[in-house]
Amino acid sequence: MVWSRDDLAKRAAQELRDGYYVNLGIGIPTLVANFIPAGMEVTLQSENGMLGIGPFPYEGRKTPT
Amino acid sequence: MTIMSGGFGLCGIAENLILAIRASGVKGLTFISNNAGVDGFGLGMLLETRQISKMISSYVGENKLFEQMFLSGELKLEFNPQGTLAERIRAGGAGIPAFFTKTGYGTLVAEGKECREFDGEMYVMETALKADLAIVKAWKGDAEGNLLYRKTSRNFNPMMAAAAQITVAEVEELVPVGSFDPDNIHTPGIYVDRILQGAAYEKRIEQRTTRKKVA
Repeated sequence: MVWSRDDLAKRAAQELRDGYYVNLGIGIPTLVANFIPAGMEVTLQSENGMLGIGPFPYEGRKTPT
Repeated sequence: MTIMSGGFGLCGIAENLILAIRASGVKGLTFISNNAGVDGFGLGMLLETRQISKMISSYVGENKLFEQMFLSGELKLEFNPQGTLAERIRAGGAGIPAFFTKTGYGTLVAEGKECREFDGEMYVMETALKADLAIVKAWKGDAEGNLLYRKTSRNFNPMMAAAAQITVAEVEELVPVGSFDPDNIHTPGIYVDRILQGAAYEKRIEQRTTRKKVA
């Protein structure tokens, strides 16, 4: 079986536990944000240090600053 | 001349002031900036005109011209771990000449630097960074130079505003003095020497990544 980037991210997401603070590196790790199991509360940190980021935005919901 | 340029990637960069430096034609510049822009935008524009001779940065991907100029020896580069770069700039503004960090110990980054043990762990001494000029970009500002940043654009901008001899700020919106709640000001005006409202903002996104709506 060939793993896709999303497959790898889904597998990594299985390592998450309720209450974790998780730093996501650039690349496949940021995809993990899209696979947080429902009902689980984890706090994600981006490369530039922001806490509380979520999954990728939907088209039209981008907010460049 | 050494110039600090704020923002993270293309987010929160002083778009108008970079254009002004390009128009001035000044050469031989050392830039302290987390990134080097992309081909044709941000600091990438000053690479095109060969105005930059040295970069002090943490990540300089996304830029083919940078790679060419570095490999041909046309451009000097000093790499810093990202947090080390941020803290070196903060230290410059706070009047702290040097500090110790674990980051980089035992690697190439620590070569030639003093290392010391604290509580059984090894640390590398890193020195402060200062500049002749800082170009920062804020969301809102007033004539006193008080600045408010928005989200990711707050990266590097406040520290640089404090660490340069002269700080020039460009803002999306210039508001009357007294508009800000004093408790909410990010960069106090004392750090800012000149302020202007930017003519227009492109706010380019380096890598646009979205997710599909699931019906």
